[in-house]
Amino acid sequence: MSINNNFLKQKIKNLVLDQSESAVVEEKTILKETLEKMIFFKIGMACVVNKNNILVGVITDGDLRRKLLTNQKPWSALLNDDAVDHCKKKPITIRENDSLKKTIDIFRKKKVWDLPVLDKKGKLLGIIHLQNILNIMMKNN
Amino acid sequence: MKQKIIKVGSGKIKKVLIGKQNPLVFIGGPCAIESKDHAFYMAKKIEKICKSLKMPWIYKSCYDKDCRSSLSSFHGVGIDEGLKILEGVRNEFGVPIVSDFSDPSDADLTGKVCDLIQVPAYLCRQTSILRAASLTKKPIHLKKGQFMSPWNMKNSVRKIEEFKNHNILLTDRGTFFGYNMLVNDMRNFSIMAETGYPVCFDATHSIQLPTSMGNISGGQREFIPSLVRAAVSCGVNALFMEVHNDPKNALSDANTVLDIKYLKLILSQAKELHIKRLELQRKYGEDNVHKQ
Repeated sequence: MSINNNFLKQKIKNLVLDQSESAVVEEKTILKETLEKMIFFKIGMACVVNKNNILVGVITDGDLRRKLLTNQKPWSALLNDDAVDHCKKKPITIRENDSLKKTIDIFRKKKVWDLPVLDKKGKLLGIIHLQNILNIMMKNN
Repeated sequence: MKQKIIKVGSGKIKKVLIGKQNPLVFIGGPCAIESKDHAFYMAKKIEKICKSLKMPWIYKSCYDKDCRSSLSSFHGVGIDEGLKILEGVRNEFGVPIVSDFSDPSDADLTGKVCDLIQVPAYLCRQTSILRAASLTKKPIHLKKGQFMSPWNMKNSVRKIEEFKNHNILLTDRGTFFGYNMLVNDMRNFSIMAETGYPVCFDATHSIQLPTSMGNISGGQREFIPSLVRAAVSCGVNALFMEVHNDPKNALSDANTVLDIKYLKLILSQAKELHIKRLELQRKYGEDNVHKQ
């Protein structure tokens, strides 16, 4: 299967899963509700935003795996913590006008399959998800 | 987490600041209002002690003891007479007043007299009570239920904040340890302080043995002084103790209320420890042991 250049040049904003299709929570959403959203959308990353919809950080399945091994407090206390206390600040992001090629390059180099997508003002638009890209690729072929 | 200071008292009443570097505050009085004369008598005694120690204080007493185990136990003088007496104490001594309520319909009247409105521990997660307390627009004294974990108190705090009240004092009064037994988990103060609000230790209810004597509660007063020292060392901003001149004949909580003859001794140590703790904080900085 070959991928043509035009396909790779298209802008990410045309492929983004918007906030109604991805796990987006506010800073003071508790971890339990954050996990529920990730489970509901079947996505291994939740975006934590402030009241102005600016991305504060992300919580990923990987973060949660590491938490399994390092957490010392009772689980009931951990689940009641605010998402913001457990998110990774300054995560890797992609801009809406970046290309699909750039996105795939980041996926490969950083070994991730979800990225938050920001608009020109730095606000969260949604996420780009590897599964989603694969589906589009298969459709086009 | 940025720590908040709450201000209790308004108008001619002496304002009391609770939190951060402010002096340790004493909140106390007889558990229940027994009569006008007794309320004034107790207020005078406490005032004398707190004045001599230069310790800010808030007078506490209740008009309705709704959580008694037995119907035959003293239930209180009632809201009308009780609030009249509390208002009298407030005006006579110029001291802020705290009292609780157990029915949302009593909140408004209680808030009109009291400077600090108390949510009873057993009702600390009842939305209707928290809403009613918030709507008084007075600072809220929120007691941690004996059945609650300290981290779950954040849920009650969030409810109060949703109701637009951002002045909360969180108090630990012990945690159930099996039946008829309470213990104090000294981690509770740090955990509840993570909400950003000041924290308080209720020493006299902490030593209670709930309903351990059939249909009334027992208590082990001998532990009050050491628990007070421990709590102050752990960083509380206020101390709560119910006091009485004749505990044996107190109409409420006779087995836990502290004989006022011991109050000065306990508060003196608490004050010194509080000052020392603030000194240590200035000298060595905030606790910053790495959290996993």
